[in-house]
Amino acid sequence: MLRVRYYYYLLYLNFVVCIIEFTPKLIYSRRYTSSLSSSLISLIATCLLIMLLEKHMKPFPGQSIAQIMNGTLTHFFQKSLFFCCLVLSYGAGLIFLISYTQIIHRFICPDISFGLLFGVFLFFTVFVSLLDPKSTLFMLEIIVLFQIPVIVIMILLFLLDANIQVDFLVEASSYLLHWPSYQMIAAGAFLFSGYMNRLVFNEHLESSKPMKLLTIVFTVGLLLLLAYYFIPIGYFGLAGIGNDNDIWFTTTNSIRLPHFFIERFLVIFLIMQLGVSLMFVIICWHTSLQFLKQANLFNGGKLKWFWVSFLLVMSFVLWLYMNDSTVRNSLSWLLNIKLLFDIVLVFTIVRCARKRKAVV
Amino acid sequence: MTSIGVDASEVKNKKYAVVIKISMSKGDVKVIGSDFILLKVNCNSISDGLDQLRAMSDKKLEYGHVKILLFGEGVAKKDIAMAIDYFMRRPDIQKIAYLGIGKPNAYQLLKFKPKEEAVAGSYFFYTFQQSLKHSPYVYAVTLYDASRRIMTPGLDLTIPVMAFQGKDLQINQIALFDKKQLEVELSSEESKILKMLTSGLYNDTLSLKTSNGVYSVTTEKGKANYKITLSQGKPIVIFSIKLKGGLIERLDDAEVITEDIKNSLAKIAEQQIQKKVYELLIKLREENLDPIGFGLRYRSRHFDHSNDTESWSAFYPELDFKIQVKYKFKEN
Repeated sequence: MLRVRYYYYLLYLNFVVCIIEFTPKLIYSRRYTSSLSSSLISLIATCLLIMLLEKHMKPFPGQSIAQIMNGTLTHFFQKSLFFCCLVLSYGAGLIFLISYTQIIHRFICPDISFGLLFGVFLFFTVFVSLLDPKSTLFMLEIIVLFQIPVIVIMILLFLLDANIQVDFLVEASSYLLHWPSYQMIAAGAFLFSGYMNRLVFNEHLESSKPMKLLTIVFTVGLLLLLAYYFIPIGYFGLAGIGNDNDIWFTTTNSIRLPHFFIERFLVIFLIMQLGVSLMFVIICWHTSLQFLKQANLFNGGKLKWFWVSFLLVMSFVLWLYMNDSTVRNSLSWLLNIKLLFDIVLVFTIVRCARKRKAVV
Repeated sequence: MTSIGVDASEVKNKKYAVVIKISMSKGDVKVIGSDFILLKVNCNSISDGLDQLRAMSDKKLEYGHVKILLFGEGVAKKDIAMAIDYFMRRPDIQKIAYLGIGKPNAYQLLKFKPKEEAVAGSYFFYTFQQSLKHSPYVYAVTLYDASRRIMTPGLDLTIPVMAFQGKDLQINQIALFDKKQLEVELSSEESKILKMLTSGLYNDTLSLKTSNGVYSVTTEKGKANYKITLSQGKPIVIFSIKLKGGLIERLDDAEVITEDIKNSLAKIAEQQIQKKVYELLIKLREENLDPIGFGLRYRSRHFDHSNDTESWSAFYPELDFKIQVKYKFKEN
């Protein structure tokens, strides 16, 4: 059993990756109406869901999701739930892999062909996601620990930058009084949706104290949320962030690192983000493979390699059919479904726990 | 490549003349690598120009080191927003590159070769980087700053102007833009005041005349704050400026400095600065330019944004200013 800090790493990784790659465009698209209020509400909503989940996962220490659901749900229902989980996490991983390859292609090596880059990343991530859960978590710890100082430095640089106009920030926060919308809440909830990984890694993670977990998640989440919402606005103003797809990379390209031998913060940020994003894809695909295993479809040599090669070919084929706009559209679809599905899963767990209690 | 210049083309049917400065530095720290090549091409778009320049050099042009973007006066007077937008969206150009207006054009300025510089073009870079405390006249404007000033209603673009003074370079004027083109070039005296109002002032000299003689006073530090309040339905901007005086130089048989003289000097300085600030603010209002960001400030203090841009553009021509200056001498 691993300590509960690995659970925090999962939450943190999910947040850091999602905020930077896709959601900014989506969240800033409604900056004049509902996005700020919706993001805050989604933080509160996810905190409630986390507490609900953690409280009801307590009776099942060290059990896998299939063991938890046995006795409450029929096998067919279990398998269809697992299938949905699998598709969602696989889709999230694929979309992020494609988008991150685009970013690397644009900023680091425009001379190498896109297909080659994608192929290398795909090959690497698929095989790493075959590692066993504990090694994945250890790898995650290293990457997150290296990434945290970069984020702290970024926030400090932002706070100390004399070029930031406070009026921009005040203007942005003056749009707080608007009704939230479902689309924006779903986008916000996606940032915090790392808690669903508990279902996969429950076998290897200690159960947590819900109240302590909640305070940490809420304070850190609020801090990061505000930082990520306001830092680009401080650099570009509310009107200036509308039409940029990679707003975070433009932002870090505008941050000057004083007293350091590299002047552009972008360089450091890109390299850190490379590790974090690939780790996120690995976790996503690892999750989908774990769900396959739970559904008893991943045992034995032949079946395993069938799925792996299926994953590789499928990703490559989907990539061929996905351009920039389909990637973005599919992401907003995925977000909308994922929030609903997460709520359904949490309540399924609640039901399982109730039933277990009644039996005991 | 260390700098890019964009001029209006002298050739008919061409829009721009793009100039690039390629450093011939060898990468050895001990050797000063200030040799450079200037390449110039006439073209219809900047991207077309940069492509043509690629064919004029045996080297791979690397845009990641561009630290200075210079615009000729001709381009600035026509349309600078498009060019800034292009550079902003190009991923390989640093958004912390500094902008400048070249007088008479960018080519002449890029040709300038100082006696000594670390890398070709670093002369401009260091001047701008230190301009906040180094120069009494201008503050540096980076690419991302320019872009946000173009996009945001109620905050207008300013860019420092570089010009030759004999054989040397001088950067002591600020050019004011509306959202698209150069409107006014402030005199160096006005630039000083604008700098004081926006980024603060460090070490500047005033010469003051009292009944006891003429003194030259160094202001060590100055900072301005303002707020916008409504009085009788009309907005009024209240500036409070705090200045700290340091060393006083006596001129023309002036009397020895005493506390009384210091007090009267402070009073005269306050009056003088108040007058200058008021004149500048009225000038900006008359030109309908807003480099300080009154419009943005007004907008940011409201919760109801349904028609604030319109109401502000109606307010601004009638805006009134109240200026409170506090001048204090350092104890010594």
